[in-house]
Amino acid sequence: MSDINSARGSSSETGRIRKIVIVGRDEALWLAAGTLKTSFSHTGLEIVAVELPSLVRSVDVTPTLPTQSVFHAKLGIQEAAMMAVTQGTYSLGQRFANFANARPAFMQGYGSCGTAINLVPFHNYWIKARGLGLKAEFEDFSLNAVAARQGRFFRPDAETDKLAECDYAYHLSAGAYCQVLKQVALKRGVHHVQAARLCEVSHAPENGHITTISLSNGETMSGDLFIDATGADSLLLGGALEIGFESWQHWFPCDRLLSASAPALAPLPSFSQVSAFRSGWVAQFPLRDRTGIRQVYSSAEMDERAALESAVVVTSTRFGTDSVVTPYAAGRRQVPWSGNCVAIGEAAAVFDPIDNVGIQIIMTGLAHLTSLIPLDNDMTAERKVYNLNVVSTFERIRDYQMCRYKLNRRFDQPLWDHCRDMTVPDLLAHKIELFAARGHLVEYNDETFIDYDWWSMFLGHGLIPKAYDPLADQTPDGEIIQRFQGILGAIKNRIMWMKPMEAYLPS
Amino acid sequence: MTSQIPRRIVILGGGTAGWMLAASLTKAFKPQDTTVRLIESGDISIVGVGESTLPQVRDFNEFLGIDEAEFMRETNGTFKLAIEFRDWAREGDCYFHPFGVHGHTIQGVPFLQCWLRAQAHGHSFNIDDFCYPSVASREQKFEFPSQDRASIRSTYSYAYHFDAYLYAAYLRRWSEKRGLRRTEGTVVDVTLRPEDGFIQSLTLASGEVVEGDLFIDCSGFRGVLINQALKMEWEDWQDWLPCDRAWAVSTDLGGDTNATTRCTAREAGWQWRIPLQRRIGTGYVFSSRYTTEERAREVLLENLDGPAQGDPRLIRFQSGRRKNSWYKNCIALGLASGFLEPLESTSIYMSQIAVTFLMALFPGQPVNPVLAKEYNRLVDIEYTRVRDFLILHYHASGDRGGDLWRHVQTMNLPESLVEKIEIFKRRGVVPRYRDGLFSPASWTAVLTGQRISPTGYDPQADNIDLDVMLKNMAELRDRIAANVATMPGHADFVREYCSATPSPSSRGPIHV
Repeated sequence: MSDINSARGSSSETGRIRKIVIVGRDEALWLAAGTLKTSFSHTGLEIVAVELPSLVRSVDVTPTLPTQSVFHAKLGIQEAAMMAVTQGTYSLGQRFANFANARPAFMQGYGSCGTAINLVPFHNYWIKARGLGLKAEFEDFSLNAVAARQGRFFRPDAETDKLAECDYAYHLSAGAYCQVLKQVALKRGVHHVQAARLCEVSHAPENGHITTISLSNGETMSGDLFIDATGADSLLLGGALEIGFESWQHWFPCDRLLSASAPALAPLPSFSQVSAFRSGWVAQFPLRDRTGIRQVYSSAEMDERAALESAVVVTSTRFGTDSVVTPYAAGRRQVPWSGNCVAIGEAAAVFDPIDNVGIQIIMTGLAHLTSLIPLDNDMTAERKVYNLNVVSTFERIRDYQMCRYKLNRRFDQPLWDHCRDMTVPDLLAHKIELFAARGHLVEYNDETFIDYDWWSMFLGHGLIPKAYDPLADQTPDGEIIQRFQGILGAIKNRIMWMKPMEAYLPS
Repeated sequence: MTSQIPRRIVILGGGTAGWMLAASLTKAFKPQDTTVRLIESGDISIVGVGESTLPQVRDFNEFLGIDEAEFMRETNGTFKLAIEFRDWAREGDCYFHPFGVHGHTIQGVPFLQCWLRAQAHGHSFNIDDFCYPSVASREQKFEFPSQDRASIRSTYSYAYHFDAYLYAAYLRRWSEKRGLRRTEGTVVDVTLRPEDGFIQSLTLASGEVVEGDLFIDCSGFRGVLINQALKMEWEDWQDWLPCDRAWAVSTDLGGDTNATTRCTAREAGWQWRIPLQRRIGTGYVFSSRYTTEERAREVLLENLDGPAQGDPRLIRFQSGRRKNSWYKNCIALGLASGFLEPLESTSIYMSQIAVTFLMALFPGQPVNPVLAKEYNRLVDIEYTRVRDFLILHYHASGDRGGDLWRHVQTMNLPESLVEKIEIFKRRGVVPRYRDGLFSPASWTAVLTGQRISPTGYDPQADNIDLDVMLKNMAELRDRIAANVATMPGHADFVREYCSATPSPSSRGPIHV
């Protein structure tokens, strides 16, 4: 029927992609190497990982999103073994405190809240009931949130699936996690080269493509496709190819990350805690042997000493002596892929640390790249599609994070007043406006966070719609009350059977 | 807090769009909260003869709680598994656009990529053979998809062919039984509120003044409210989709009995063939720029499966859409909102999706403009997606001769379509997006069916052992063929399930 006889893995044998050189360090380097090697192990595509010195410190913690277990499965990472070596804990959600003067803290679970009634999403009924005096919080209808609050953990199974969509994320010790990723990549046969630094980058005169890189160990490395996994330095894309940086700092005014360790918590919470304060926020990530602390703040408001003192006060704990402050600036490179160079992770875009999207950003890039590994040196078509989709995905994640700042109710504090008053991008403004008016969620292409994430986030931060879907009025109040009681009862029953998280961790 | 439901909803026009909305509102809202009134003039005939639908229409019927067998009996309905395209990219070509996917991933690699790799190694499989409903279509078979998710027999969906006039009549009976008030009448005047230009009332020829909070314009191309009263602009797409007329006729039964809509390319357009239970609906969609009405009529009459039932009827239309379908307190549905030719059976879907959006964004009082903004954004996506997909069929028509075909083969395409074709040509990447028709499987069917040939494929496919891959593909093809062979014939299935022939045991159609 069709005459596609000319199709080939490569459209021109001479320009064929035979060698991919990944330059970078830590999670981005090893996730890229492991992922690509897994997908192309039998194709003759050579994958080289050029490892620059690690920037991971003993205090660093890697919190992930719930999707990470899917990527681990593809890479063949065994959960139990990984949890054992990384001092890891599971997370059912995040608890946000002090983002509003007059509202209590809220738990945002990695899962759904309630279930639709007569095809109308649950939150519409909650909004209606709340207007009629219901006291139960939205999160009370989330199995994840209630389990987290009560110090329990569970793995979703057929029984919990009947109640809600449930998921969990990880808190991992960064250094040990990098070692896990590195071992996976090396075991799969990635060619490993170490160098203290990158010395020089040569370009092809005709198209500006990178031809070779020379390393401090004297080695010169040629390649067809170069992956920049060097982190925020963006040595290849930003440095050698001079792709400009678009700042997001007017939306994310914090520019310092303080990392520290505090004593381990007992029992271990199955969630992370994020507490806003005058000049930023502090997050606590439980690990088995310590608590990872991340404080994000604006250097315009406080110096390092003040930041450290403040973090200790907000978390009411003591820190180890290895606390360290790292400057950062949220924003993205104008394009993540230029010429024959694809930037992965922070080399492409630096996200605010809120919502723990760092690893997700790496995986998003790799997922798109895996299905668009160019066929030959003329990679215009792949580059175009990749840049379009990846930038759009980045912007939707950025918009979600931005809401945490935009929707704050901390009045009379300059940083938070600025955030509340800032103009947000049009697509997000439309989303907020429609939710505020009617509880209706606008969803765009390339969303990473799905409907229940947005509903919980909006409502948790106090964006309570002025009206709800009129179809919600068509279900009799008695039936709604019954359904509400049914959900609350089922959650209560389920949680009785749940154990504390310690029971799920390797002994 | 209340949801502030509009108390009075007025629907102008009782075509398929009007009655689909009327039925939805009747189902969704308690009559004590909301009155729905539909005004239609008895003397305007409904455009559309045999109608071909998409599987989404089943969700709609299910929402209303309609009994499928009864509905099919009463609308002369048959099943549909695919559209069969004949003679498009090349004379003698035949491919299916099915309600199902082609193959399954092999070791995580998309099937299309495996198929392309097989081609590159000289194994020219027909891609239709890997799609269950395509094979069932070809073999003139039908049965309901299996509920067993592991079975190959669950890998498809289905839709209907029915008589659109009977469907509207069915929905009318359904709605009136549940309290909908229908008024026969013609609008002679529309009164706008002086302060904001919202519609206040309609004046009927009888002299009655009908007031309302929300007005739905289902009055067809004329757009009595959205166009004539509110002057909302029309965006013309005839340069991309130049067909603007159709001759339509019914014939006696004859020829194949597939659960399939057939679209055959002709000299200045294309011919549809929609098999119903007691007749076949057919028609020739053509461009008056490139042929004459007389010639088009001849072409249709030369290509009938059985004796014509009466004379062909001429239908006029133009492709395009209203710039905003929701403006102030008026929402246009159906042809008042836009028109795209029925090449991909989208007309009922477009009404249905508009009803779905409207229900999800149903306004309170006063109408919040942000609801209209979102509604228009979503409707805009739907129209644009279908438009691009239709243009693809015309544009990628190989070396078909004739002035119409030369025009569409060489015209400038919308940028949104150029990008999709470009990456497909390079390496078989099919479009994938959140909102709007069509799924990657649909794009796969039409892009390959129209002979757009990728020059390369995803190197991930090379990761699979070639023999394992080929064996996997051959097994799948054979498993589909073996399963389809045991299915009942479509004609037999319809006769058993929902025969429209009056018999003592089954209730005949109720005529209104």
